[in-house]
Amino acid sequence: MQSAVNVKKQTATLEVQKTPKRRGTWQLHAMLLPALAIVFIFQYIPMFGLVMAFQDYEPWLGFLHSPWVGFEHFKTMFEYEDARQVIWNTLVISTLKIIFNLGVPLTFALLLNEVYMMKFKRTVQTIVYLPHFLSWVILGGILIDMLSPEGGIVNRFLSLFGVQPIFFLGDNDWFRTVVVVTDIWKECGFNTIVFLAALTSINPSLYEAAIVDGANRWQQTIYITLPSMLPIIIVVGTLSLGNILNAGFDQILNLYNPLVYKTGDIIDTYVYRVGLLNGDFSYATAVGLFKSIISFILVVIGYRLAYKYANYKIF
Amino acid sequence: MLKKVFATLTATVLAASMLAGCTDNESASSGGSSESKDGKVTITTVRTLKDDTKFRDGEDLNNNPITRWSEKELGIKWKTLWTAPNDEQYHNKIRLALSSGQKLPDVFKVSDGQLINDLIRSGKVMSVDEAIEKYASPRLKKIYEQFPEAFYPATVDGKRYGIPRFSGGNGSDSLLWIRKDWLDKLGLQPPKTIEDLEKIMDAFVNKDPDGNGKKDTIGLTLASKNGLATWLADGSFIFGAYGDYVPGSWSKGEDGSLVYGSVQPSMKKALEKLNEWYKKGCLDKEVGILDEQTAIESFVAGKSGIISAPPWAAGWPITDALKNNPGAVVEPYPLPSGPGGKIGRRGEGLVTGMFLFSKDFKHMDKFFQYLDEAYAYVYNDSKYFKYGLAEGYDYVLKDGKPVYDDKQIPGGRIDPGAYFITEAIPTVPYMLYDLVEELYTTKRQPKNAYEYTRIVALGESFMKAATIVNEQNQYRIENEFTGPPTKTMQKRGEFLTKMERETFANIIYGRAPLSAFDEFVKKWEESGGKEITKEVNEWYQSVKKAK
Repeated sequence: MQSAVNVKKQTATLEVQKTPKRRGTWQLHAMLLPALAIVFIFQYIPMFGLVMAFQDYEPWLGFLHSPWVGFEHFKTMFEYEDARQVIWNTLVISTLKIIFNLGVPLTFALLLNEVYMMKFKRTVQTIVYLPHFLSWVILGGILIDMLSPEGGIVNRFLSLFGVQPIFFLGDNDWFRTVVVVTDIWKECGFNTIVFLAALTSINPSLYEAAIVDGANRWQQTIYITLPSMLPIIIVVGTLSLGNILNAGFDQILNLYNPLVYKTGDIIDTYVYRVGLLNGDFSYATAVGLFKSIISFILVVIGYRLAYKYANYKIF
Repeated sequence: MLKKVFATLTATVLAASMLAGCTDNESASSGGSSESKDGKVTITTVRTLKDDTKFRDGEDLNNNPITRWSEKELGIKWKTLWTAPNDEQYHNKIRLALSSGQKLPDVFKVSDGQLINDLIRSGKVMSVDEAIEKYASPRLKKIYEQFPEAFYPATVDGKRYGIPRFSGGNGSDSLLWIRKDWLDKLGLQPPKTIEDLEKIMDAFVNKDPDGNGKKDTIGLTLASKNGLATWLADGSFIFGAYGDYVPGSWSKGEDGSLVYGSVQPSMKKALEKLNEWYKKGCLDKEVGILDEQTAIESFVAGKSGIISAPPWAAGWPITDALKNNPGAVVEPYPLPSGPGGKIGRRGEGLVTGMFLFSKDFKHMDKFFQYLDEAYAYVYNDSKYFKYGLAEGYDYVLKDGKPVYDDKQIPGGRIDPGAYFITEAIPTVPYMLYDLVEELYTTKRQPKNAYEYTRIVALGESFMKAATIVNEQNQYRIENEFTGPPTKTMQKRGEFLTKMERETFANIIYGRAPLSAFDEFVKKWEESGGKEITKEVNEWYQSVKKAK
């Protein structure tokens, strides 16, 4: 009780102190307006388009006059096995991506952190970050060549060890692996940099104390580095939760083919084919909306967990 | 691929603007047709303008030899309101105009079946039945009577709403292109039957035709990612050799109604063959994931001996293959026949889209006059285009005689045909290749710019190939369903296509037994195929009834 009152008093005094500072900052806040306007116009207004999911949308009627069908399209979605299949594929691919996109860069950052040659470290960092700037359209073409069972560089390398050529992009057992590995190859550089930044902010005196206590490198990592990194790991993990149903449209669209529809087709590519290629806008919107709702729930859960275990809060 | 990504981008923009769809303002940003005091008529239009369309200095779509001719001689001023670089963006812009209630241009082309139907049902475009009756020239009427199916994509409730933009008819039909130098080296004759073809492929795979001492060559280049009957590296001739159907097309069945090619029993034999060929190494190991652009790589690289492609392939990709492989000789050959003497190939459709007209458009007479003059040039009886379309563009006069040689035209040759609203010199189905055949077989010299630029300038190889295609015209298997996607197609089409491609690919790879085809047919019928067939035939009956 007492402490609560104290806290209140403290915040009260803080506010009193802050008030004069705030005066005259409205110009700064005004600078926010264009950004808010853009978000409103381009993110919020188009949301009205979601009503299409509950209608039989006809382009020339617009969604004010298209006939209502209620939850019809959502029912269709669960009626057919193809929709269930793509939802499952999406979940599997993105879960794998989230796990490995945390694990790989973290390990990489820890290893890189042990390197004391600054030049080498910087070079490695840049090289790892570089694929991030290539688009999947370009990479798709390159990967088809690299992973070719006939003369592709990967299979040539494997053949040195007597491995039979593997048809990576045409094999249901391999396709997901390829998708996850190539995604990590392309994107892990970014998270590596985030983790490296977090590593530099750990108080060096902690290590000094640990060394005095006789901890070796391994023990330092387990007892100091990892616990200190926990908040940022949770933050990165939480942010990626919102993407759990985004298994990577560009990537899959450029890599998949009829041979791997079974394991490779995801919600976004499905919506693309149904909505744009088949012209069933309403159904495609329904599937897309379903995806957004699930993502939204996951983000909320993610933030709750992040607050509970890492005291991380955005608002 | 790029196209697809672009499509999604534009789709996002499209979604954003759906909201605008509810406002019904007739914004007057696009001016309607009007008649000025001097009796000249202004007609508004929109069109695609490919990046490689060339203009002489200072000219553009609203000011070039064709528009100047049209204004001076016919009294028609063309006003192109906007252009888009490709069909996808073009259609999205039209769709936007439709859903935001904007005024439509007077005349515009649409090639997307769904969009054509949406436009007609929105009541904003005009029926053309009366106008054809009143204003179309005898020449045009004759063409229209000859190809009544060309109107089907824009026929609703017995009324015609569009004027067809004809394709070459058989312009993109394919034939075999074979490495003649390989045949000669191995002492082989060109194939007459599928059996011959198998022997050739076997030799191409096992007898080291490129002489590098490695077993690294294949027989046939195929693209199968987007279906086995397609515009390049086409596999439809294999299916045509075993039956009257090709995958992905609606053709007339035995009882005269339309049936879906991919589920006909004759598919089975061809799929079995493909599987056999795959096992023997005649096909690319990756055939299942290759689209048209990636499939041709094996042929261009000199790793493959046979490709099935249209006559225009003589320009690309065959020239690339010749450049990459010194000493290579690629010759066109007719398609081989199957065991029962059957031959068949995917036939290009009759039209590449329709011209639609805003319901407020008042000058159909002028439109038909313009169109007829453009066709007059094709038939070589135009009083305006005697030697070619425009002097200094596609020909020059030297001592009173026309010269068509590129090098003699200052600044190089430019094709003013691209400035017509038809976006090219108009075509009549089959006419061009008939003319090619005549020129090629009689060795007659070209008489005019049209013959020179559209035929002779494209080279001997093209002429030979087009002649072969023309001679095999009776084997065309055309897609007879040219209407908008039906209700069930919209709902289930995606799933059915996916199942079809998956099943076919698995059979070719030997991952599924041939009996998987029967299961596929059964499942296809159960999961919407039956309804789709019914709807397709309802559509077919409804358009056939129209005049």
